[in-house]
Amino acid sequence: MKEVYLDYAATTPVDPRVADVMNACLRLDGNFANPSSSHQYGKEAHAIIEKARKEVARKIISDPNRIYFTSGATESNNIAIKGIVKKGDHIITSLTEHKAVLDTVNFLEKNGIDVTYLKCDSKGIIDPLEVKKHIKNSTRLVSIMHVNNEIGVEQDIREIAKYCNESEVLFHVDAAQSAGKVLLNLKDWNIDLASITAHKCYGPKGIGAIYVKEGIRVNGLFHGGDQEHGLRPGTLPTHQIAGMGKAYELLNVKEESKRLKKIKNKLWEGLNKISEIRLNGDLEKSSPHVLNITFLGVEGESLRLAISDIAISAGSACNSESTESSHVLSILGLSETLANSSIRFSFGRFTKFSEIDYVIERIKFEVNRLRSIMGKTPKWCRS
Amino acid sequence: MIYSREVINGFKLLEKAPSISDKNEFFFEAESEDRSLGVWVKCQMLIEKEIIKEVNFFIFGCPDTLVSANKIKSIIQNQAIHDVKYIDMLGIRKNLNIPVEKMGKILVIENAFQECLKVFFLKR
Repeated sequence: MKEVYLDYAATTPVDPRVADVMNACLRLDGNFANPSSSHQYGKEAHAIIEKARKEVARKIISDPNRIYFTSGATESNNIAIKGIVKKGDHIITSLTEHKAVLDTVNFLEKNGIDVTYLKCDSKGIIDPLEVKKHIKNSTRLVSIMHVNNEIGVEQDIREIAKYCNESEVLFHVDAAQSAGKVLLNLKDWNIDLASITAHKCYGPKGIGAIYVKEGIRVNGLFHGGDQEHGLRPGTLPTHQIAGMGKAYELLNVKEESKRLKKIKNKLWEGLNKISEIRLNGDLEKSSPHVLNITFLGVEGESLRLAISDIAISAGSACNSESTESSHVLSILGLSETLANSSIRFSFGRFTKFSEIDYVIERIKFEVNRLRSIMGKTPKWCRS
Repeated sequence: MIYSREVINGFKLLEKAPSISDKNEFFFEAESEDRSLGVWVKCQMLIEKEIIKEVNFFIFGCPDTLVSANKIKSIIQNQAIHDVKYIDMLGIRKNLNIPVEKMGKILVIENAFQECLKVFFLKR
């Protein structure tokens, strides 16, 4: 059976050009050395890292000297939040953040930090004025994601940054999903801290970065060396960083977002011909690479098995005993049943238009088949 | 979610249950559900002279539940009521290699079947 990968928001394949660059950093005849070493091998590895730093900074429009490599966006989020906030401080975040932010903030909350969780509207959008409204004297940090990983909605981080700036409150953006898909301009938008990763944009897993605006002091989580100015000690993984640099160098946000938008529209138009479906999120105020849809009256597990030749993400995490609904869909007002009947499609560089035709036909067929097997289900199965 | 080979194969072959069109005095139907497990089952039967002539299950449920219902259907169709009054649900689960944690979902099918029999006995 044909297989289609539509789970780019979970991770992307490494671009072969990125893999080549990484491979060259692993061998004796390449740049395998410790970049902190003073010999020629080390200097060459160091140069590769600095080149990568510049590439990353260039794509998110920021200062390369303020980019620090980490193991990924989760670590960057932890540093940005735990490394800034101290006892007595207040944090503002939203209920639809990724677990990497929510769990970190929850941890701090249990340790006495005051936290405000902002609600979103029915489409998942945060009103920037809500941020402004909740800022108080003790507010130290606002942490809001740029693009939501489940429903793809894009928050107005420019406006939020403006309010934070006016109140002299630090603003952290989890930009794990946005880099490479939507425009990101940390410098002009006055963002204080940002978390990015490589594996969502055709780089390797296990590498990411945090951007820290000049003049902001962040405490690192680890101790044990001066690498990355002590913010993130440990031997720098040259091959990973070189891979991230190459991945960012290859990003063409303008062209790629245009192509992804066409793919998204095509899929939405095709699936929208199926009766009783619901779009989760907002078609316009969203990243072009994510589309989240609920198929009413179709049990989620059965739907996922029926289309198991299409790699997608579900609106729930299932195990044999229970189903844990997506916290994002739940906040949008979806019941556990509806969240379970929801699917996130996400596209990327290697998605072909012909694959979308195939996916539309497969899903139409399977949804109709399952609905006929399931019959006229009661209201709770579809609301 | 991991499904057994038996369930995957059975699931692929599932088709729309032909609706029982002749809803005469021999037609009986009943429903059962467990919202906490996300399962709803409607059982329809044509019972003539104590023989289950036709049976249909409409199910909102996971693949294990759907395939189990199909198995039950194949067991009870054209059988005398008294021979299938008690279905070996444990045997069906084992036969389809369904994890024990799914037993609760499968039992909703049996509940719907038993409810349908109740309707039959009440009307008889």
